[in-house]
Amino acid sequence: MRPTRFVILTAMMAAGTLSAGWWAVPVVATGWALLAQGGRAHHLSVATSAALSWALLLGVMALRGPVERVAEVLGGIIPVGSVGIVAMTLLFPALLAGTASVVAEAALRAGQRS
Amino acid sequence: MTRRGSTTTATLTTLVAGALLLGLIWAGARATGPVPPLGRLLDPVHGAWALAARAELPPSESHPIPGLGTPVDVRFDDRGVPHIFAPNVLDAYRALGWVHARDRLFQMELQARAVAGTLAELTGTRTKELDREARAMGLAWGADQTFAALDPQSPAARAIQAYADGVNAYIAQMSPGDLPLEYRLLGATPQPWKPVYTAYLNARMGLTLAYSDGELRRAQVEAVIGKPAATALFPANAPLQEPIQPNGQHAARADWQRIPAPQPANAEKLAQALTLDRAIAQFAGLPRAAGEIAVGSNNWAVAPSRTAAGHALLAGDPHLALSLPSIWYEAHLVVPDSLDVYGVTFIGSPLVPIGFNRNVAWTETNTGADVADYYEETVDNPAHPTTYKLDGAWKPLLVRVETVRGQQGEVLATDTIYHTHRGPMVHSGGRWISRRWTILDTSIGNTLDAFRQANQSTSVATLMQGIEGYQGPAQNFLAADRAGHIALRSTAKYPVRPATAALGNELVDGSRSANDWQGWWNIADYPQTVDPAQGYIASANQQPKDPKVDGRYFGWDWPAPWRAMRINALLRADSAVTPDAMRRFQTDARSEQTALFVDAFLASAAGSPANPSFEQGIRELRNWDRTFSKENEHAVLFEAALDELARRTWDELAVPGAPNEDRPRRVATPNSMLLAELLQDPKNPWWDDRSTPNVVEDRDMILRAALAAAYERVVKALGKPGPAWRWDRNRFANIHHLLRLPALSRLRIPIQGGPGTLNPSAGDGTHGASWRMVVELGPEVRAWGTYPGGQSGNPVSRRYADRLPQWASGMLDTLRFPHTASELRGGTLSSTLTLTPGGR
Repeated sequence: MRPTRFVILTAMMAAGTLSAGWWAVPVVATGWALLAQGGRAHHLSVATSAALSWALLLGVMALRGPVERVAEVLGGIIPVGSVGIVAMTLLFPALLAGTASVVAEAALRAGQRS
Repeated sequence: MTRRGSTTTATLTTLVAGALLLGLIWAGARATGPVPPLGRLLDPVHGAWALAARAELPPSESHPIPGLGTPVDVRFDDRGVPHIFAPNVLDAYRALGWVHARDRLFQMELQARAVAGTLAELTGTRTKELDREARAMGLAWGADQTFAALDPQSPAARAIQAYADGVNAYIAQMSPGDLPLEYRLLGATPQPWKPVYTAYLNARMGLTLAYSDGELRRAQVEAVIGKPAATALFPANAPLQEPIQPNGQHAARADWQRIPAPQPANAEKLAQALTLDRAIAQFAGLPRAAGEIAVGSNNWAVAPSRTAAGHALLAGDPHLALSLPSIWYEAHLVVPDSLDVYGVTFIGSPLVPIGFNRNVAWTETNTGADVADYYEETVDNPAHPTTYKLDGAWKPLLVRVETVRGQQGEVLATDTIYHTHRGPMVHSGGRWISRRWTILDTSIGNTLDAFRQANQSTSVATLMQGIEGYQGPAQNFLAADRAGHIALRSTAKYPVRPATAALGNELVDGSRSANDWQGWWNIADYPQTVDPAQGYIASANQQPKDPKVDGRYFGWDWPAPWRAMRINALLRADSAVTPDAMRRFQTDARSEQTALFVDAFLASAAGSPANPSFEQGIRELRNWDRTFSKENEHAVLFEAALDELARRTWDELAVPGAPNEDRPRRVATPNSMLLAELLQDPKNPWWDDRSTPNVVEDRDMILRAALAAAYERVVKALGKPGPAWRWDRNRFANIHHLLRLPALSRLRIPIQGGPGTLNPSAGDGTHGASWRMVVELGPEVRAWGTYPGGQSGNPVSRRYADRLPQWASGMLDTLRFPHTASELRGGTLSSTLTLTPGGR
């Protein structure tokens, strides 16, 4: 994926999460897959873009308050530790976006074949 | 790879991806077992991460509240305490409801649901049994009745409504990011706050403070050891007297009597008595600690004649189950010309039960009066009763059907509860037993009116007059004012019992109305004192009145008065008390019981046969300074020795036929004051250890065996005497989060204090001083305080548990008490909140 497209996708993921919540991640990934029609590398880029968008949002949240204490508390409850909870927070949108992209592209191809 | 193989791989990849996507969406939206909905939790904007942005108070903000008359100015000081400056009282309560909700919303709902029996709707099936028990108790049922009877235009009803309006205004304007963490973990959202919930929470305090099932336990004790011994071991009058109402004596008085020998257990009576276990469990509603209550509450006031500065001083430290968030929330409410009160508020209630204003300070300890009696009822059909017998006639039972529901509204259980005119019944061992309990008909209106008048009082006299209508749970209200007056009254509704059931500690025949309560005590007869000649007043849950002054039955099985004795000793010895001395007293490390018991252990050594463990134990006790300070290395042995002593002494109270475990179940355990009484009688048959049939032990033999066993036990657990024996390595406060999540709890906090000290610690460390306050009533009222927690319920906030270090070290914060909003500025002001009229 071209860097510009990657940046646009990441911005869309972030904006979608900001306005509609976590549901926006698979929705944006699906829409992007339908429009872009990429391959395996494309899906990885979509996943990376989703993780990056949430990382950026976490960074913004860190400017507004002590996210390290949130990580400590959540990592104690789940319990996967602070690092584990941050990893989960990045892995969750990545998997959502990546799998949504794969499924959307497959559906599109199936539609084109029929 | 062939095209066909490639297609197959692609299909498989798509299927796996599709399944994973569905799984992720499911896990994102719905809780999976104990794992909360991950999407709602991990979303960096709307999920739990948003708690970071809400961790600290913003410098300034503004929000609308429907129904508000004019804007309310709320200034949060540097300790996170809101100072609410409102144009009228109702707006002040609206603002308090709003800030309570913002800081403690989940706690409010959880506590109200615990009383209502709707926890399972929030937390799922795991709390189904708690809900069933809560509904069977009838606390919410009783509160519903008294709340419905409240005049909607009464000051109390309007206060409750205004407070609820504030709470609901906050809930209505919450954004997804505002959702407290606990809701996210449970996959739930807040429900609107009903005004009646304030009454529920008051009833809940009644359960905590005024519950007793002694009659039922007492029946079991009698079956095991006979009535004479049961009466002596669980007496209506404490054998060690240091009453709250001064009796003119200058030291505690011992009224030691000989404890009758235990009689052989009556098998038939015992079998029947043991069936009461079910009634005990059902009536209690929640698991309750058995054995001696090693915590309590303290308060004391000193007249100007005995203080260094010549101003009255007041101290209070109510002891309760400790939790995070704390039960208390500090607040200051100011309304021109009518209200200027600072103190701790209950989450869910608009008033200040413990605090001070510009003229008066007040605080409470629990009275412990007996306000519950149990009746054996006769019903028409034991399996499905419809009527009960009263004075030869059959009366219809009130039938209440209670349905417990789960998170999706599904029915988890349906129970039918029967009431006589006395209260709810439970079926236990073929018997139907009802309970009359003042808490079920305590009016929230009277309670709030009493505190409202206390909050607005101008002197001790007006405060005592204002709380006359207070109905319960019974509290020792202590007050001091700027004019130098001090006073205490143990206030609540106390039943007048009939001559046929004059003692409230036995199961009563319910078939006769003559056995019912006959009315209520006159206020003039309550335990009370005003400006006593001794120059101070102290209460610590001890028997309030000396039975030689007033012999009427008021309660029984009173807590040992060790804390009361210690406060009185400290106050007698200090004729120039300072606020800092009051603070130090609150965490004083001495217990009056050590003198009695350590001396007895030491005396038992005379002429004893050599036993290395006993000799070592004696050496350790001799070197003990008899304090429970953190660094002390001997207190741990003393505590173990007392435990071993009780175990060996009260073996006759073990349930006959129970498994011969290391610690067989006892039907009840007399408190340490009774053990002290027994120490006076070296040959009493109670000293005999039943597990050694060929030997008849006496006191000193048991003391020696107990100390030797304790020494061996401590060495086995901690090694030879040394740093591992330090008190702060063995005794902790454990403050659990309301959901008992370890990550949100603060555990193993070293503290000073032990059994019988003013800062008592015992058992699992989950109880303790829930608020400590010292007030000096000088020309300008000055106050200090702290509690084990913080103002915020957000575990990410610094304000979640910021007071714990102060609390654990026994220090107090200076409480800011500004006259005007503008007095809070610069470093003393952390946030300004303006609440304006408007909104939905």
